[in-house]
Amino acid sequence: MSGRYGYVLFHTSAAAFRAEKAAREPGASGNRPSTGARLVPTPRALSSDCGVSLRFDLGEAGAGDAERAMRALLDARGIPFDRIAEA
Amino acid sequence: MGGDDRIVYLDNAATSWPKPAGVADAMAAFLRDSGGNPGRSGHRLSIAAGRVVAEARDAVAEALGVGDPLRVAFAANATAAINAALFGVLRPGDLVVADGMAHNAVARPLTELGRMGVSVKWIRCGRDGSIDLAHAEKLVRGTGGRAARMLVVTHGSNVCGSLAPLGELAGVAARHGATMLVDAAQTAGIEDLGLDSLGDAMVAFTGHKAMLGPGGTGGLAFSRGADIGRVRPLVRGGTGSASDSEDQPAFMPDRLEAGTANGPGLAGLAAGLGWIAGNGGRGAIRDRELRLTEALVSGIAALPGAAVYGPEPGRPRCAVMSFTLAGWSCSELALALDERYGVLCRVGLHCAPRAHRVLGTFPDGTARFAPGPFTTEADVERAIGALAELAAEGGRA
Ligand SMILES: Cc1ncc(COP(=O)(O)O)c(C=O)c1O
Repeated sequence: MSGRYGYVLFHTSAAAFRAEKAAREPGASGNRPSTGARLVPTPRALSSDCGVSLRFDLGEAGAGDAERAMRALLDARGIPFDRIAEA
Repeated sequence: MGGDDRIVYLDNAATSWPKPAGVADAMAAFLRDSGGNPGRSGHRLSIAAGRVVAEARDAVAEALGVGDPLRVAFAANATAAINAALFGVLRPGDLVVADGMAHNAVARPLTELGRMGVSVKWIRCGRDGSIDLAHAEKLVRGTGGRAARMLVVTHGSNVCGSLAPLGELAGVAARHGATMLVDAAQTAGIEDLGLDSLGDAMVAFTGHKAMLGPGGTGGLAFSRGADIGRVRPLVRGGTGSASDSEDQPAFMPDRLEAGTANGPGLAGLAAGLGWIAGNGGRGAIRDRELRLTEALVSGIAALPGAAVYGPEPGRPRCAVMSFTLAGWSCSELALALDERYGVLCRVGLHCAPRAHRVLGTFPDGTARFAPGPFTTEADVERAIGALAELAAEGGRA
């Protein structure tokens, strides 16, 4: 079953682009979140803002793992974000 | 085209030319392929444009020594960034201290702020353009317990090439709780600024000089220790963020980046900085330009009737030098160099009357040569040869 996504919401798109680059870097750390991270328009349900969010696959089981990995990556790079939500 | 038709471009302090070929290509590609509004919409063209701007931000942060690219706010040029910093921070009753080599990008806003009740004090400089550090300390300390709010420093003089000691000046600012604004228009992209190591500091940079990007790019970058919240945004408007609010966002870079970014320009800026990184890096390019500058200084100083202004050989400098030739007015000299020898330079006061007063060349000004990454030793020889002939002619005032 697919279709479960996490969304990282950012205050500024400048941070969103940094996060996308970090998430797509080949190789590297165990911090790396699951594949498929990409910028998409922020779902209306999550924010009334017109910006972009980083959508990533939550995977089959243990959605918490993917989210933890994403948080770890953002923290490691010092990339500020608003919150992570599911939709 | 014969060798003699070649232009010797020695006006890189005004703007660098030629640009690396990749600059124009990147700008064309932006307009052709990723033409969305960066950071506004969520469709592929907007995202592609946003990636280009992000790449430019990363490259600028690296060039300035800023750990977090979000502390880089883009603006139209160094002038806009300097205005954002000065008018954003200074209030009536504040004291601001600036050095005597200041460009009008600093001097004119400070003159206006002076009319608005800000106290403006100028640091003495030596005839070689060097800053009197003891005088700087005295002025920043202030009187009656009122220290300066801000110390404004011209990093590289666009008139004579003198280079200010940023580390020492950051120490002066730190001892008295002042923030430091560095006008790095001449040096950003080629000198190691190490902004994060300068305490509470901001750097105004321009993209079209040493960074090798196009005109219309530049910005204001903040050190790790800077209090960005103190900079009141001058320009307010759309950012693509926090759109439910009619207040300007407090976070960087949106706080200082209202309105659509110069996407094509920033694409070119990223390409310019990429070229520097791929061609030996800042240090190698700077060392080469400095060798050419020293060759110009010694070659021109040896000509009869020539006077060279600025740092003594071997002193810290950037790739800019100024001179006069007896019997020749600056304007006649520039015309002869251009029409007869294809040597292009800038003469006059270079938007920096205060610096010319320091050098003793106000109001007549000087001729200025500034080599760039594409200047060759043959170019330098040709320029000196041309001046030798003009010196022998004895001049035209
Ligand atoms: C020392 C200095 N400050 C400020 C500027 C202004 O730069 P810009 O015209 O790109 O705003 C220049 C160049 O013109 C300069 O040489």
